[in-house]
Amino acid sequence: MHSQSNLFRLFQITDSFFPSGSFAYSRGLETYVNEGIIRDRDGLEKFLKAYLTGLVAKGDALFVKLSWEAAGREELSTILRLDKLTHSMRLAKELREGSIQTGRQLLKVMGALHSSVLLGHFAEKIETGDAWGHQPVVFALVCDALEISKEDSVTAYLYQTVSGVVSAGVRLIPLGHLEGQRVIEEIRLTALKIAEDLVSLSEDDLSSFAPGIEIRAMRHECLYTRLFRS
Amino acid sequence: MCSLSIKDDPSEVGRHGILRLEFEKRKDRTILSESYSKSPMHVFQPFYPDETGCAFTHLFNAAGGLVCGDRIEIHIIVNENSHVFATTPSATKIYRSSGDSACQQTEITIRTGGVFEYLPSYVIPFANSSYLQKTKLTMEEDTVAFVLDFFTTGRLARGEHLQFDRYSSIMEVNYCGEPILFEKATLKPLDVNYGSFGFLESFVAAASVYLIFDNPRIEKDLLNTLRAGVDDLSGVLGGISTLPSKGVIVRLLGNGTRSIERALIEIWSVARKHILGRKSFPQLRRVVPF
Repeated sequence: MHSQSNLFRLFQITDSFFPSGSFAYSRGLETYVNEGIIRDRDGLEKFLKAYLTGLVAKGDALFVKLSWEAAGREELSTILRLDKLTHSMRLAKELREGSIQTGRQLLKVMGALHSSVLLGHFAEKIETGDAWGHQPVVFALVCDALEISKEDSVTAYLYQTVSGVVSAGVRLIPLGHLEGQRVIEEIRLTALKIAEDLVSLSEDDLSSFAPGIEIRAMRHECLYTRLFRS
Repeated sequence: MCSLSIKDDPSEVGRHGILRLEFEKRKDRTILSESYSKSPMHVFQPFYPDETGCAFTHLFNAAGGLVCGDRIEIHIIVNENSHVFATTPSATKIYRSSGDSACQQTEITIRTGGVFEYLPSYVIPFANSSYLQKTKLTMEEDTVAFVLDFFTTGRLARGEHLQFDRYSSIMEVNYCGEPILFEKATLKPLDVNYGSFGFLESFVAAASVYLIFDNPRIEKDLLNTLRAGVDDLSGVLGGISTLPSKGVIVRLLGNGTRSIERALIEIWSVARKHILGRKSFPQLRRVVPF
């Protein structure tokens, strides 16, 4: 019964209906579509693969894992350090601000629904300007508060990222909904491999490389007409 | 894998080159006040191609490149109110390796009011090479740094592209004791197709320019001017954004080294003018190996 309840809550926070605002971010995809480089399902799939491999596998997903572990040990100082570190590693403004906005929104909603000492302390640190509230860190804290396992937290985070990118792609390119679901199915093994590989990774392995995406996210800052915030 | 904690163990393969330079301001000029080198690194006396008193210096590796197991250590101290411009006389070649990585560790300390500009030529990772570089900047109050990280996907003239084993680059900036920037990129072309969307796409050279300064008021103008300058150039794709704290980043992908070098000259001129309040510097092309 207990585990069913956790699963139910995990669906709640990864649902596109959940008001985290993460569906307002295209993460550089809008620029690619605008430049006419990404035009079909194949392009979207390649973009998603690069996004996951270059920015998430040893970046965001690793931050979820590390933050979840720190939350389990109730180490607020480590959580604050990881939040600052993820901030200092996000060099494109829109990718940085998108993460802060969705992270804070998630914290606000879940903080109102559940009483967690750690979430409360972290929220206070954001209030006082001592923390940013980046999405992977907050996501991990929320999962810890909901007693969701590390593996499920990471997998849910990956699913949420995939579904966010595909949802943006379906609207931007545009693609049919079936095509969108095909992309999710195609990328599933890549995402699960990332989750599997995380087991052996530590803070020393944090890294990222996706200059094509970062440059498009930077160019998005001055795109004239746009649907998305990033 | 090579460790970045550098020890002097004679049993290790590869050379261990060291360069330590300390600069300070005397009257109107920045001078080289202390220096030490261990081969293959060599000290060059600074030169003064403009009237600002800025010391221009070459970081010179007599071996012309690094082989496996080589470790190069560069330490530069830019003392209060001094101004140093460092470059390299030519590209850094990373030769094929059968074992350990080659590594270069650069540590720069900039004391209050100091300015450091680092515009080296590019790194060429040969087929089967393995390289790790780490650049760490420790900056005090009211300091400025312009730093370039620039590499190609191989020996372009012979059509070599993404055939190296590993290229890893770490950049770390501390400003007034606060870690403000950390970047680590590791490329392993055997594992990932970097020719795809999102990575290098069809480009063969990549560069990042970090412009670190503490003056948010000039950021907007600087961003607009840089964007206009980079967008006009052919053969490069550029993105410009504000850093998490104190400064601006420019990322460039190029269809060759020339197009990136043209962009770098433009970026440097804009940065010097907007951030340092210097007039344009037409001799820059004569100073850097472009």
